[in-house]
Amino acid sequence: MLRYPASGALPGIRKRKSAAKPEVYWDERPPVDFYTFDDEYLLRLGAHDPATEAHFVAYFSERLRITLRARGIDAHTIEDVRQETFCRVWVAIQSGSVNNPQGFGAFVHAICKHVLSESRRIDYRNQHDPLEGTDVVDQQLGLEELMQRKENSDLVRAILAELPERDQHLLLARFFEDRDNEEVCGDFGVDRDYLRVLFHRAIHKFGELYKKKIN
Amino acid sequence: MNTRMINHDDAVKDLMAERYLLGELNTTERDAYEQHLFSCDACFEQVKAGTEFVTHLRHIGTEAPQASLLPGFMSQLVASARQPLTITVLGFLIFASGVAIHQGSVIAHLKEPRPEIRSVLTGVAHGSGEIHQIQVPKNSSLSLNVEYARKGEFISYRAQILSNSGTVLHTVALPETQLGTTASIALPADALKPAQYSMVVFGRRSDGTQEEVGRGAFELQFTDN
Repeated sequence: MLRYPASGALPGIRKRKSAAKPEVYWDERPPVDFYTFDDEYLLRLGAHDPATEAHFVAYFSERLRITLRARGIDAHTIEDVRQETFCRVWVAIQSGSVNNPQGFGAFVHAICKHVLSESRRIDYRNQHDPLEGTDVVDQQLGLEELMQRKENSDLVRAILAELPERDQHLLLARFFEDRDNEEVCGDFGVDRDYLRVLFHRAIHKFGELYKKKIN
Repeated sequence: MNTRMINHDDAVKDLMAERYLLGELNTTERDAYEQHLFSCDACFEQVKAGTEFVTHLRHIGTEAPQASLLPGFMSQLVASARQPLTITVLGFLIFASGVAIHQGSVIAHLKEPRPEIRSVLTGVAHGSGEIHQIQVPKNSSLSLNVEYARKGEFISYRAQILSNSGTVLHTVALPETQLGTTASIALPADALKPAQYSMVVFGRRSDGTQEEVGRGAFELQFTDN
């Protein structure tokens, strides 16, 4: 589910940059939000402030989930890595070993990478199934999630319907058939830039429609 | 944390979000961009939207393509109505509803209050060939009575209405509790057409053979044709 957190509800300080100049592929670029962590944020986190902890979990859970998913990690491992990352980050905060609060995002990302590397090494060494069987996480979605998923699928379907037939097949070949970029571009007679821009426009349109829907 | 820092404007200009999701970045670029995502909301929203888009695109790809004629609920209704099972069930429901409505109207018609015309058909059993003229309105109830001869050899009796050509139109088993020597058949007058009929009573023996024990003839006419 795509969520856009309300910026006003987040604790911490937001530094708003001035709008950048329009680029080739962007009609009107919004101002960029960088989340700036500071000493106070880390102090509140270390002191178990509920609002700060909730923000910390929500903010980094999404980022960890999406970046790990982009690396092709399965859902169970993502959950394990997320938990271990949070645990180590919390220990680091408690021990005062976070020296640069402004780079807290990068710090969490670095810990996540280490945890993922360790997880892969452990998996490599222990390539056998546990004797007692494996506990499988319940993947069944709730009714609300199912409805949201269906609505989002309808948005994607509407975006596809607006595209020329060749572009529809191009995107399906790349993502549904999971074919290589080079192979797909060769088959459809387009270059890599065309694929990037096509994908960019589809994502942009999806984001616009989604925001319009939730508003 | 020894990856190089990514500038947001450069990330946008280079379509890093798209390249990240298309798997075009090398390990160093990917790590640097992921580190950037952990601080930049705009880039993260772009990657998140792209991830959602790809997820739903893969989901859509598994579905059979179908044209949407009408939006929303109606298109779903029309689409489901095209399924063979739905058509069969719908046809059955329409048929069952039709039968129920027809039966309801027939039962209501039969339950309507109507005048009862009683006729005693005598003559044939008594050696006379007299044909009784019965003139009744169509919406009346007809009660036909015929005298017959009871004998000890018969175990049961039944009465039949026969057409002129001998076709059996109605049969009624006379109940054991019926006393006397008169057989009765009651029916709506419009169950018969205007014509000549005979009402015959048979006695049945224990070995299955039967014998005529009474008969009366009548000619039905409707007064409200």
